[in-house]
Amino acid sequence: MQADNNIEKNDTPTKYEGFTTPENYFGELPNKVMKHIAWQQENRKTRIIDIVMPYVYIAAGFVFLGLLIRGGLGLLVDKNDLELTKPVQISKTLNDDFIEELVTDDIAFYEVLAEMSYVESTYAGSEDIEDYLLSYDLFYEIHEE
Amino acid sequence: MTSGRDDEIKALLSTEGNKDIAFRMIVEDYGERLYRHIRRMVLIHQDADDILQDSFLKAYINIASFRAHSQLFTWLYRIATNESLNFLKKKKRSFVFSALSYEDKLVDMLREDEYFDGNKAEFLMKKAILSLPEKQRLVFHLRYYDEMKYEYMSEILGTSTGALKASYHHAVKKIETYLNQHQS
Repeated sequence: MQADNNIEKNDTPTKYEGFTTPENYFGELPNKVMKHIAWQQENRKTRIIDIVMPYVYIAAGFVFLGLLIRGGLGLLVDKNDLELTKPVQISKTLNDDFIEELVTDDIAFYEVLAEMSYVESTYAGSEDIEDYLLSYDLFYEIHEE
Repeated sequence: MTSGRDDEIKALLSTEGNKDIAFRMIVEDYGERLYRHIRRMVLIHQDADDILQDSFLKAYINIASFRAHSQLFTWLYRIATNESLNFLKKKKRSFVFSALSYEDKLVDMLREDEYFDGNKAEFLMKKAILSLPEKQRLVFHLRYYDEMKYEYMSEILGTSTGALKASYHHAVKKIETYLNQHQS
């Protein structure tokens, strides 16, 4: 019975086994263990950061790349051209006067086209005149003269 | 009396903000005992020290899963036993392609360990115990050196008391045979 209850007592072993430890090993053990736990807990937090940080770096890399491309385009393209292509700028230039002028020009253009088609339809070319003169034997008379 | 102290520790664990105080008390009460248990399994001081630190760390992290009606020492012994067995498993794996077994290597390492000053008889006893299968070795350590009750051993190792008694009996017989063969 005495032997069975031995484990519940905080005592030294009854049988010598030849094992020794560094001096004051057990005296320093609580401090050592608590330090180890604190270090591991801190290291655990660091490990979480280590897991998250690569993703943060990748995201930052994409942002940087995006800014770099945008900056590079700015150097290649003339700023004034870019200004003109801006929708706000276009809407400003498309004022009423411009539209009116555009419409008037279009009307004038179509009028010219219509006139040209009329002239074309009524115009007789030199070949047509020759054919006409030949049909009445007038061509040679003219040339002979 | 440890049981009274255990109650104090359990009471501290159940109150907010006293975890570290309670845990320090656990290390003070069970540190030496657990060290001896681990050292018997791995033999080398440095390995035993590392496993002991890791066992306490595991206990600290999982202290919430410790059930108040359980015995603190059986719970701690279970953690230390698992850590020791895992350590041995890893070590043995690295010796798969070696001509020497890990147990043979351990004997050599023990001979050179500055924290072992056993005489010839104690060294022979260690060699005899190392010749046992792992589970029998564990049972022998707990019963012979720790003089632990079979019911506690059953709680730690998850084996019936009948099987543990048989295992201990076989272990003693094998050690006797080994010592008789090698003493002369």
